[in-house]
This record gives sequence, C-alpha cells and structure tokens, in this order.
Amino acid sequence: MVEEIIRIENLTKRYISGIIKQKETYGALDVSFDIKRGEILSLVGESGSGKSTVANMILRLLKPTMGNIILLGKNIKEYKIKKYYENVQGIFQDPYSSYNFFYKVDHVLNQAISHSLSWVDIAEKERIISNTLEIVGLRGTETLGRFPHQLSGGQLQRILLARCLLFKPRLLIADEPTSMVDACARAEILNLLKKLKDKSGISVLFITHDIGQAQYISDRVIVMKKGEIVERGPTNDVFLNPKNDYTQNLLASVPSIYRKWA
Amino acid sequence: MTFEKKILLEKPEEQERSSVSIMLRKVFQAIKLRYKTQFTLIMGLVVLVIILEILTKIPRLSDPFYSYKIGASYASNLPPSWDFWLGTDTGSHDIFVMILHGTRNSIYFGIGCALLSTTLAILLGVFGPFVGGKADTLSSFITNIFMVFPQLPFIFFIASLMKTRSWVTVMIIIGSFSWPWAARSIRSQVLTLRERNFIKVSKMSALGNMRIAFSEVVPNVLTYILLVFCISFGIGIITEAGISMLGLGDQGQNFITLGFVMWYHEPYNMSPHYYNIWISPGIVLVLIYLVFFVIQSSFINTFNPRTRENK
Amino acid sequence: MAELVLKVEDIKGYYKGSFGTVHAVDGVTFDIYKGDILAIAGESGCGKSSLAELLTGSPMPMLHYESGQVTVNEIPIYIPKPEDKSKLGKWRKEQEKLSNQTRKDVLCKIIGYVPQSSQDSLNPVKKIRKFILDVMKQRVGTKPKKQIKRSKEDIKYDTLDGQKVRINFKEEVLTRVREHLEKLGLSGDVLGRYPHELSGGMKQRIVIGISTLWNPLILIADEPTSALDVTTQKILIETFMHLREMGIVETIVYISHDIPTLAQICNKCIVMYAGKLVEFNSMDNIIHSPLHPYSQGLIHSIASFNPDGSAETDLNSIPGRPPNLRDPPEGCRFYDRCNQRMDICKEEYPPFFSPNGNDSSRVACWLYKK
Repeated sequence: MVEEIIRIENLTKRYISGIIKQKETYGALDVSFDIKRGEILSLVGESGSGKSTVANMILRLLKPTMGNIILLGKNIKEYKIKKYYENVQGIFQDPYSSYNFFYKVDHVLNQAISHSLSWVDIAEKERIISNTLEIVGLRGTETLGRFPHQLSGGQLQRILLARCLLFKPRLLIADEPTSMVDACARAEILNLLKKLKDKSGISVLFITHDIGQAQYISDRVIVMKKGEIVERGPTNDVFLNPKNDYTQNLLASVPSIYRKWA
Repeated sequence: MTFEKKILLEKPEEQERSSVSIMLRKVFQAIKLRYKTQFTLIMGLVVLVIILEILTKIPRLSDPFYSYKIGASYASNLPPSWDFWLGTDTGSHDIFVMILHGTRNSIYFGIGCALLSTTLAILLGVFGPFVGGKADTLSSFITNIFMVFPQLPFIFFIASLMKTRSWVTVMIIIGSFSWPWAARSIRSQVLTLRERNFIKVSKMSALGNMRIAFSEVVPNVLTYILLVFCISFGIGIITEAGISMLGLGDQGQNFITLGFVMWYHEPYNMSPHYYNIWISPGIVLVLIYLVFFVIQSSFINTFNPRTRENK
Repeated sequence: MAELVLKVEDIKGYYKGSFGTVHAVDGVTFDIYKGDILAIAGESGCGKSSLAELLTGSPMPMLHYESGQVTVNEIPIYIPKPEDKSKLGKWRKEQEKLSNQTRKDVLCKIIGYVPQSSQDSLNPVKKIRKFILDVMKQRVGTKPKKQIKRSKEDIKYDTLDGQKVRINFKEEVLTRVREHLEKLGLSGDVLGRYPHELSGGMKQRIVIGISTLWNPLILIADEPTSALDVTTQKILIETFMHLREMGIVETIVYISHDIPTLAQICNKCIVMYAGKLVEFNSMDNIIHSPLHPYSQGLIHSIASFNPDGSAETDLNSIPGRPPNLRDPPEGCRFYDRCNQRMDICKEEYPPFFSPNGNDSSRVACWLYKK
C-alpha cells in the first residue's frame, strides 16, 4: 500500500499592496497536489513562480490565504507546532544565512536535539549527533566546534540536513538546496536525498529551477508558472513529452551538454 | 519506530529548565570571546567602582559633609596640601572626599540610567518588530513620539515641577528620555535579521518567539546594545551633572554627585583664587566621559569585519 | 593561422589586505585568436573573475598585478614589476599612467568588458540615455551636447557601431546608440526609461550594448546569465551569437560556472582550479573526453537535462574543498582531492603536456608525462 504523507488542497496565497488603490497579486493560486511515502516530488519553475511560497506555507512559516494542508490525514491547523515539526522539516537555498554567525555550527544541532531528546544525557546526545552526521557523510571531528564561515557551502548544507534527520521527519522540504553550493558538491547533496528516500523512506519535496537536477532526482514533477500549476506527471512524461506550451518552451531553453542549439 | 522516537512518546512535554542555563552560559562565553577589548575596559570600570566603594568606607573619608578642624579652629578655605589633597571650602569640607563620593555616585547614576534606557530600547527595538503585528506598530509609534520630543526642556520642566526630588526620580526622568534613537537603530537591524534563514530554522525547531528573539536575534545586535549602553552611560552622567548644577537635581545630602559638588560650590565658580574647588569635579567628569569615548571607539573594530581578528 | 588578439603570459594577480595575500590568479598563460569563443570554467573562488579583471588592465582596488604580461592587439598593458624594491615607487606611478591610458584607449574600443552582476551597475536614478552619455564622457573626454559652437577644433570624430560620428553631437550619438541597441533586439525607447522599469534580461542586454558600442575586438563577459531565468538566459545567449553574426564582436571570452551554458556557444575552453589553469581544450573535448582529473570530476558532477531520455548515469562529486589560496601548496593544487594522485604531484607543479600531440589541447597533469 502506498501511504499518502501530505495532501495539499487549493492552496492560495494572496498579497494585497497599496492602501487606496489596492492591487492583488498571487504568490500561489489554487495549488493542489499530494506526496506519497518514499517519493521525491519536484516543483519546477522560474523565479517568481511561487515554488518557495508553497514551501514556506507547508513549513508553516507563511500563513495561506485559503486552502488546506493535510498531513497524515489530519489538517495541519490541528497539529501542535512541536508535533508538526517532528514530521515536516526543511532546508533552504542559502546555507550561509541558515546559520547564526554568532554561534558555532553545533548550535543548530543542539537546538534540534534539545527539542526532541532533551532528557537524554550528553554522551548519548553526542553519539546520536555523530551517528546522524555519518549518515550525511560527515565526520564530527571535521565539522563540530567550528564557526560557519570555516566550512564550505556543501558541508553546511549537509549539517542542516543532519539537523532535519534528528527529528526523524516523514517529509523533507528542500528549497533549492544546491543553488548556492559549489558545482562539484551538488551531486553529493542530490545523492544524499536519493539515499534518504531509498533507505529511510523519507518523502522529499524538491524545489528547483534546474531542470537537470529535477530530472536526475525526482519521481514526479510539477511545473509551476506565476503561482499556478501548469503541468504535472511522472518525470519522464513531463520532460520527454511535454503537453503544455509553457513547459515545451521552458524545456527548449534549458542549456544541456547533450545538445546544442545549432 | 526507532529507538529515539520511542522515548519521545514515553516522556511527554517536560523539559527545558537545564537548557536555558546552558544557553545563558553559551551566550556569556560568546560575548567574552567576541568583545575582548570592551570586556577588559568594562572590567576596569568595575574594579574602579569597587576601589571607590572601599575608599568611601574608610572612616576618615566616609562623610563628605564633615567639617574638619586643625587644632581647635575650623579648616576652611585651605589650598591643596598633604592633609587636604584638593583643599577645603568655606564649610571646612574636604573637596577630595566630596569628589570621591561624587564620582562613585555619578557612576552608579550612569549605570542606572544606561540600564533603564537600554532595556527600553531593547524592548521596543527588538521585541516590537519581532513579535510583529500591532505590537510592532505600537512600539514604532511610541519611539517616534519620543524621538520628536524636545527632551532637555522637558526634563527641566518636570524636574522643576517636583517639590522633592530624589536621585531615583531624576534617574528615571533622564533614563526614559535617552533611548529612542537607540531603539530606532536596533529596530532597523532586527528588521533585516528577521528575514534571515536562521530565524526560519529556529522556528522549525519549534522554539517560541521570545526565545528566538533572545537567543538568536539579541546576540546579533549585541554589539549595538553594548554601544548603546556605553553612550547612554555617558549621556546619563553628563545630563545629571547639568541638571544638578542648575540646582534641579537631588538636593538631599546623602547622594552627592559630581554635578551636586559643582552646584554646592557655585559661589566659587570662576574665581581664580579657589580654582581647586571648581576645576576638580570638572576634570573628573571629563575623564569619565573620555573613558567611555575610548570604549565607544573600540567598538569600531568589532563592527568592521575586516579589522576583526580571525578566529 | 588566425590572427592573435589577446596574449596572456604567466599573469599573476594577488589580493592584498589586512587578511593577508591571496594568490587569486597564480600564473595563467593562454592565447586567444580572432573568431574564438573562449569559455573560462571553474568553481567559485577559482580566480575566473579576477583573471577577467586583470585582462582589462584596471583590476579592482584590492586586486594587485604581480607579474606577467597581457598583450591586447600587440599593445602591452602592464609594465613588469622591477626586482629592485627602491624602484617600486617609480614603477607604480608609471603603471598608474599606463592603466589610465589603457582605460581610455583599450577598454571599450579594443576590449569590451561586462562585469559580474552588471545589470545592477546601471544607475537607478538616471535614465538609460543619461547613463550612456556619462559613459561617453568617461571614454571620450567630452560630454556630447545638444549644440556646440561652430568652431572647427571643437568637433571630434569617433567610430561608433562601425560608423563615423561627430562624438560631441548628442543627437548624432544617440541615433547611433539607438540603432546599436536595436541590433541587440531592444526597442529604441528603452533609452528614455529608468533601470527599474526594465527586466533583468533587458538590463543585461543594455550593458552588453554599452560595452560593444565601439565594436571592440574582444568582449569579456563575466557571468552574464547567472542571475537570469532559463528562458531569458536563452535569449541572451542568442544575443551573443547575433553579435558575431552581425560582425559587432568577433572574439568573446565567456566566463561562467555553468558548463551546459558554456557548451552552447563556446568552441574553446579553459578550466581553472585554485588560481591555476589546469586544462586548455576544445569545448567538445572538455565535455566528452576531459583530460585533467579535476575537469573529469567537474563534468561528472553536473546534473544536466537530457532531452532524449532519463538514462542518467550516477553523478559523482569531488570530495574535499579547494586549498587555501593564502598559502597555496607547492605541488599540484588538486593533490588532496585527486583520485589518481602520484608522489610527484605533491612535490612539483606539473608543466603543460599535450597528449594529443598538437597545441590545441594542453593539460597540467603528471599523468600525461611521456
């Protein structure tokens, strides 16, 4: 049986600007989709297409104007914040600004562990942290006890992933996790997400503007444009035989090492 | 279900206490590391206060209004000598003892003033925008009102309205008028910090708003808060001296400040014959202010990441 | 044999400041011939942009020329640094003079330079027209006016967009500029607009237009598309292709970290790593048969869109991070991360080898020593 982790129904975010002459803009308009257990779903779109708005609404960092988000059969409004974040976690585009430069990198991990396992003694906490860091391919001796500016973008992003794993989430929201990471460290993060999906059965909502990465990683794809979904389906259907004009145009303009635009 | 998750279910919401003390200790360590220069200077100030406190407890120096005698006659209007380092005035009071007490009390006054105005600045500057919504609008409204208020005339006005003025009331009056600029600049910093990702990450660790504001935002504006503290300290001492000199300060004889010493000896002012009486409290005042100017200047190094040491 | 346009010989440029000395560009040698579109690829922090700044002859304040030479169209733009320390002051003055001369004679007229994130370099409070006239004043020395006195020595001539114009006449200059921008696919009325009214792609094209007004021999474009969406990016890349077709610019140096984009327009490629040039090859070879272990790693770590099918091979990344350029290692800089390292790599920096036998492909790696 394929278990449904999260279902999103008619999610809408409306921004109103201006006091006298009001102008409405939609960050997201009528977005509905679902994510199944152990699946990577990609949200693809150009900048301003509302991908990040959707992510922030699912992470409860932004209040939707309309629509429902249903996690494991229960509306997220019924969840307590704490309980909710044990199921859903996210990583963001800019690994550098995800760290408070005042503290060492351990701070984010301690924050997470004091939330979920506060009564465990310190030795046990250290063991859990080093185990989790091992999953993301890091060694505690190389990373812990350092300040964020002493580590590379790829390492920082993987520590954030480790932080998410401390919660044992069901759903991971990855909002452009690779776009500010060096080219040769990108593959590492992509492979890691794949591994998490295969081994731990974590579902991933992967948000990207890079079609190549979406093709490499995802099971299903949703293409967004100006806050609306224009096309959806299994990766190969969408990327190899796009139906929508916008998708066709988008795919035609992606630079690729496999073809030249003549 | 994994092992960790199991414990989680067995033991429901009951935690924290210990983590707050750990957090406080961490913040303190981080402050020590990052503000080395300022830390030394402020420690120096603390030592100075302790020395003054001890000195003023010595019986010979404990009463600024004691009339000294040489033999049988009162020692009035003496020039500086080995017995009276800064001379005496008409009432045979030792000027040195008066200044000793005045300096100590002025520093206390400054600290009180700075604490009050910094607290107000943090409250309205950090928590206002961080909580958002109506609290934000209200805090910025109050700040703006206080900002355009003509402060000094108003302080004089209130001080002259009151029949009996204790030093605490004067401190509250000065303290509650010297924060709006600080609240404004802290607020603008917090507004940019609020949008950073690490705030989102903390929110996803299910921390409360107040805790995020305290443990994530405040450390980042700490340089600013320390700066505000030092500037308010200087402002407090100088404003109090000005008010006291005009005779609008605390006129009881149990809390004399440098301004009070100046006011008390007003008839001597500018008389070259009694230079030791009117010039010495002024010099001490200038020295205190200079120390705080040095502390403020040392913040430039902390503000500018290029000159900050690499750690 | 095609004509040699730009010759770079062992150029070194260091960042100097309170943070120490950063060896950003540490001995790079290559030639560019007329008609080449050269890609400079590499990760962030490998010295691509610093190299581009050095090529223009007036690097940014913190970046200092150290040694080597750049020859643009047979004009040298650096005076070699003297060994004798007492002569440094004199040398600095001379170099300053030469840089100012270069900025006037070479920049824009022989080299067009589009700096990084250049769409933000338009002045937000000035209309595009005013901005262009300001640029004109910088380059030519006189500001174009509406009317000038009819005395003969006031009139100056210059070649804009391949045609002779009287550079002092505002109308004449603006007509040329308008026509030039129209060639890049912009309508003429952008001149009367403010930068915030234009999209990112349009701004970028205006900047390219300004850099190519004098039809330079060579255009250096530093990450011109990295902040743009894919559809805009495609339009911009097509603009670059048009530039060549219309004969505005024949030779382009295109700097980017995005190899799929480079693959679209470039025919030759330089791969840089930690301030050094590691491989010089044709673009096709870089993609299909890279020589240097770093180039191989870089190519294998790219998740590129494959329009023919999802038969994607597994991606591999390169472990570790580049060396600290404040104190670069003696031997090969890729040594710590290389999976084919040998003992000699640690001791000595490899010279260039040409495994294909000709000069069109060169690689700095001991693996290819015969």
